[in-house]
Amino acid sequence: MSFDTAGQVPPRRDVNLWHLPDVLAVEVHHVRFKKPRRYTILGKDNEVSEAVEITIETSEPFLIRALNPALFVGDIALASTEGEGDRRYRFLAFQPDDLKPGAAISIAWNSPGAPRKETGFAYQPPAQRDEER
Amino acid sequence: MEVPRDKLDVRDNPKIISPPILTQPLYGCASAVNVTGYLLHATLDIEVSGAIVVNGFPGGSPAPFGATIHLPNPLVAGQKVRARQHRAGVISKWTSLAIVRDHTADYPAGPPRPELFPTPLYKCGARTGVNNLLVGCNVWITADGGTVGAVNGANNPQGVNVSPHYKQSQHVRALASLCNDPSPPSLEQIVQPPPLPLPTPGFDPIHAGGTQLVVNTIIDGATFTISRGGVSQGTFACWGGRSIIGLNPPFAAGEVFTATQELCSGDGPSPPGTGTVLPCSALPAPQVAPVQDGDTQVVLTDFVWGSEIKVFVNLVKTGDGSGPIVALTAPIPHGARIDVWQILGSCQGQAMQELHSLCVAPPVGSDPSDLDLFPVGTYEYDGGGTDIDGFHYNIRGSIYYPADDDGVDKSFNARLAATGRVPIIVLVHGAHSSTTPSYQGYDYFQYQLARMGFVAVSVDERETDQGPDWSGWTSNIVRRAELAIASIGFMQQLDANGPLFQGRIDFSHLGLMGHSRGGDCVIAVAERIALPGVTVKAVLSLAPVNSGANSGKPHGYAFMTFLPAADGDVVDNNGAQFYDQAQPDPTKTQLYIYYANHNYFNRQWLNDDTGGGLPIISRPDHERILSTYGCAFFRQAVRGDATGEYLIGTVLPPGVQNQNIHLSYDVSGVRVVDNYEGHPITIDSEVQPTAQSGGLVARDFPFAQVPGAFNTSFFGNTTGNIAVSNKTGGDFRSQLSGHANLTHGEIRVRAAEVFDGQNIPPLPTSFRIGAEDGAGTISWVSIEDVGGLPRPFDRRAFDNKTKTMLSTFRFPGRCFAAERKLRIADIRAIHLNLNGDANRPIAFDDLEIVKHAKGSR
Repeated sequence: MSFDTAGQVPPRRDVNLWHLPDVLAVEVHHVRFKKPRRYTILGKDNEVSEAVEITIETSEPFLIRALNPALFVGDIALASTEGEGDRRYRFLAFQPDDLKPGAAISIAWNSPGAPRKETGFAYQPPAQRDEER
Repeated sequence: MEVPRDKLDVRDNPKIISPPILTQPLYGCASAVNVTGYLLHATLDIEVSGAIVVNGFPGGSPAPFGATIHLPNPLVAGQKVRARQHRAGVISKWTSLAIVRDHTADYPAGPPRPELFPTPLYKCGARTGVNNLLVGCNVWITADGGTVGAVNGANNPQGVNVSPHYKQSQHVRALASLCNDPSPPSLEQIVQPPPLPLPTPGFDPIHAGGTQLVVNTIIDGATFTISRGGVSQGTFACWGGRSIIGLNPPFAAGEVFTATQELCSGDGPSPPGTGTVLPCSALPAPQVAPVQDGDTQVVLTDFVWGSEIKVFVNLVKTGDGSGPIVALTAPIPHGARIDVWQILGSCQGQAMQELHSLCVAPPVGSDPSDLDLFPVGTYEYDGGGTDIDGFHYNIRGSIYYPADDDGVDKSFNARLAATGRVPIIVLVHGAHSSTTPSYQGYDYFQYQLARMGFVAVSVDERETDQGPDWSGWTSNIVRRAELAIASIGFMQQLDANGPLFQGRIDFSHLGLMGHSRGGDCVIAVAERIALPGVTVKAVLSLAPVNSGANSGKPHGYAFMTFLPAADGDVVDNNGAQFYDQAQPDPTKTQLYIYYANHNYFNRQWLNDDTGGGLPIISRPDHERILSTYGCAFFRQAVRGDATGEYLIGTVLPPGVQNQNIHLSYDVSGVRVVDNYEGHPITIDSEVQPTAQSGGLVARDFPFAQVPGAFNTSFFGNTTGNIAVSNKTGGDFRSQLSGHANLTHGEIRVRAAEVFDGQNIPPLPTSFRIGAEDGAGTISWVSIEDVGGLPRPFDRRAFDNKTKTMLSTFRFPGRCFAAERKLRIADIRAIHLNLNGDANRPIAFDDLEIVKHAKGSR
């Protein structure tokens, strides 16, 4: 009877859920929504008519997983997002006064302590109400 | 622990033999009963309503399924039946009385459907096993519509000899009836060509002194021939797997047995397998499942078939029967020493298995996912489109339902429909690649739910997984909820006028299960749904995120959450936040599952989300957890089945890695001594004083990822007590506002070893609970006596999310009553006493007193 020493099968090359794309560009706009946006907090729907939008263009789409990406302005996290195509994401700030001019912009997965990736961009408030959507 | 027989001063009282075990339930019209657990070659008596109707039935071998004893008259509902055994002039006690039931009370839509096993069936097969039968029913097998085998007064399982033998490509089914009430047909099997060459049969270890030979590796339906020293002992048909044959004289060491097997004679027999009889000295001690105080039986997990099992409790003989279950002549007292001895004919085992009974050692019960009543139909629905937040969705998904036969678009089961509408369970998957059919990933769970009588719907929400929608986070999850509600609305349309479901679905008994983002979503569904006639009874939130799409406070229904401790995606186990804030309406349950990842509950989610970074239990182990605990949950919460014991850990499901599951649970209506919320640590929730002594310091901390937490290892959403003592024995005393009676009650507390953020000490820590009566007498029960404090699940090789996660522990009053001075009906204070190493903090929450339901363990 032969006796096989068995060859180990390499593990499946799994997806790295914690990978983040590079941020190629950042735009900041103050927008008024022609149709108010629904914004839910602890299960309660609210309507917002205006917000500061920080739009990022990424090198690749975010990986679809349970968690969402968050955009940080300094230490303020923005998790409310609208996608636009597969590499542009608009992060919405409904209390823009909390955002400090000059604060570094970074991205991370939305979990406490998750590693942040610096974008090389800094936040500058929009000069004026410049877009309606 | 094995102990040499000659080191034990046990006295074998030959006048004590165990009562046998009468298989229950018994049903009217049954023409036979089944008895197990008796001694080899014992004779058996059956008494029906005071008259012995079977006297001295030769039991033969109790292995593997006991004796099927045919009765002179079929049973009648309401009769009382019991059994006893005789051997060598000794008569056992009777079993306790079993009352014969009307099967239509338990199975109003007819007897359960039989199951053919093992499968596949092979050409030339001569015998088939049939499972899932009511004992005493009639069972028969058809091939291409013609009956090829039948047994009246069947056991469960029952082997049925087949004649003529199976022919290739025949369509085979089993059917059963009781009181002329027919079951649905079994799942159809198509006869396959034989697997040639046939494998060589093997033998389980054969011991000198035995008379029962176990042959294994038998192909389904094959015949096998046994030879002893070259002399044929006969040819036997087997349904497959293992078969036990009784032979005489007893086996002698060194004897050689051979076996061959055959399916089609033209193909010839297999090569012969050989077994040599081992000497008596090789007979091992049996293996025994943990024993709980008060148990009236001992369960063996490994033993030699055909052996006699003697049980000694505190060195006194208390049982003498056969495996796997030996009934005892008296309940096990608190902390008893138990020795179990195996004897095979003239060969006496030289070692005994010794163990001590525990205050809490839950028994393994029947499988709550295994209720197989109906064939399963499937239907893919398309309810048109809907627009939410500017996104367009198709209302789609799959429905599994109890049907008249298995297959696509089969008619709804008519007999079940005649009993009324059936409850509905709606499943919602989470975010994954939108090209992956995620909604199909719970098909195994849908199938199990449907075959037991639920309509099980899995909503196709792939369109919400597309990037622009998915990235909306909270908004995306709200849209997922509204799409699920749209599917429920479409189910109502199908119920109103659909061809398959018209008048079939009971929307007032709705259960929801969601996974990942779906787990967050289903809580939002329960809060948002406003469809007429819909009442959510239960929500199972599996590895959920917590986005703010719902209130964060599940309420108004039974709640359950799964927290995979090795979740590589939802690394914060956000379901703990939902559990902590959930109202037990009427129950809430949390499973913290070691070595489980995020994805493996869904069959379509193929990758290990830890990327190999943590050790993970297998995908089937994940599925078993969802199947057993999920079915127990929905059956109890949505339909009122008696499966609630699985949700509070008093019974464990079989075939599940229970050692990796750490339960928290709470029920409505209990007495909360202290939940450590809204008051200083110096008083408890009953506004009575607390006291710290013996070097213990206790403080309230948020058990959450917030400033002010004890450290960063807490991921829930509550406040609790962290106690640490600078020496062993530090004590925290909670006075009660009035006396408590623990005679039929217990103390419960959630507790966890606190992970310090860096190191996990090599040894566990410990605490004990003290019950103090009005005279100041304290009785103590250690955490080790109720299961032990789990070690933190170590994720340090993967990330910094090793957690302090609390579990619920039960301290039944009967365990405190071992201190005879204690006035168990007059408990005035409860102590949390840190009796482990000094300076090892322990987290506590939800100190409660719970009255036992009648008949609970």
